[in-house]
Amino acid sequence: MKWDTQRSLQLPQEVRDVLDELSHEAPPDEREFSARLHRNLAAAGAPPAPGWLERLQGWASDLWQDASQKRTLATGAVIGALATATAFLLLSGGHPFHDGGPTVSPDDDTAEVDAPGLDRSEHKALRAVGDRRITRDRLGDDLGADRPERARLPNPRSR
Amino acid sequence: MNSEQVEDLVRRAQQGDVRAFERLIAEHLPIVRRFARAFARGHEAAADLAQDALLKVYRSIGGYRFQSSFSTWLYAIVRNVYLDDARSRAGRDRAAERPLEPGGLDADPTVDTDAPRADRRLEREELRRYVWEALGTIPAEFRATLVLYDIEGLTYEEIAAIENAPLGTVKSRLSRGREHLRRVLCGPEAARHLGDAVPAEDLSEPGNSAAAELVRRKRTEPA
Repeated sequence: MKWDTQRSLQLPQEVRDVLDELSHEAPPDEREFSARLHRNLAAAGAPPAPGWLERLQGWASDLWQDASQKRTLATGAVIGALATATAFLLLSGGHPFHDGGPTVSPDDDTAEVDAPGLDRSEHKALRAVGDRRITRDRLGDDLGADRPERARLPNPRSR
Repeated sequence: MNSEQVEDLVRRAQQGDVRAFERLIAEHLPIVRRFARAFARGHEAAADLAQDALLKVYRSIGGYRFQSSFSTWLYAIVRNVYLDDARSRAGRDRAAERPLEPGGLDADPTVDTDAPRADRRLEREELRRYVWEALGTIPAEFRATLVLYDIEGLTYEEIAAIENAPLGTVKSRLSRGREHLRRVLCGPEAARHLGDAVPAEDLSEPGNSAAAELVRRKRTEPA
């Protein structure tokens, strides 16, 4: 805490001289000030112990300071994970579930409601082989699709 | 005073040992009082303010958890008390209790009766008082930073810890405080304080500020 004359170069020299002089100014009536302070302190009694709120704040502050290094690592890990996820999404063309298709799950019973622009045949065309078929319509009526399919007979005309 | 002694004194002060507290703050008293001078008009008002601040420090010492140096913690509380006082109406009233009159001085029983020396002392006192008054016109936050750095000689890092602010904020406050001080000391307003000593239009010339004129007067006096 030493006075450095090179510190306040933004101020004119004469102002710096005065500030330097102020830094050596001794406040007057030192003994009287100390005596008055002693009286005030004695009258104030013992300083109060910190209440539960102060203790809670102190505990939180301790935790915050102690965990500062761990916090840095955790922040790095979170940022890394986010960056990886972002890169993955960008590389996959922004459609993580389907390659070029709509992001409607084939298992979703509300697929027709969610994608009303598709007619039934188009919707059926979007299905992959092996997908479970829709068994109920939007009112919950059985479409009959859950019946076992009949064995296909060979087409006599194809022969 | 080493850290173990400080810790011991803090523990004792936390249990109500007034003497321990007084020993703890003894070396900081001049700074606390000079710091208060920048927020009050006159020595008496500054002493009142410093008393309030130190009492607040004593009442708060139970919450000191040794996470920062004691001086940082102490100055942080003192600064908050001063800023609160400056912002409050009570602070303005306190400042209005003893309006500064040009040439008026605090009663000082130690003033030398020898005329030339007494004049020199009066001039010095006038100069200091003028600069304290100029400091008092700076916005409180900038003023606190300027006093801690340019008068008390604390480092940027120490002030940042006291103000709980980033270094950039401290530097910005210091720069703005200095700019304000320079405007007050070197601008046309300074003419009011100098009377006919320097024509107002000459104060805008480099090296011809109000403070420069006062310093010049002080230096050219016969020894």
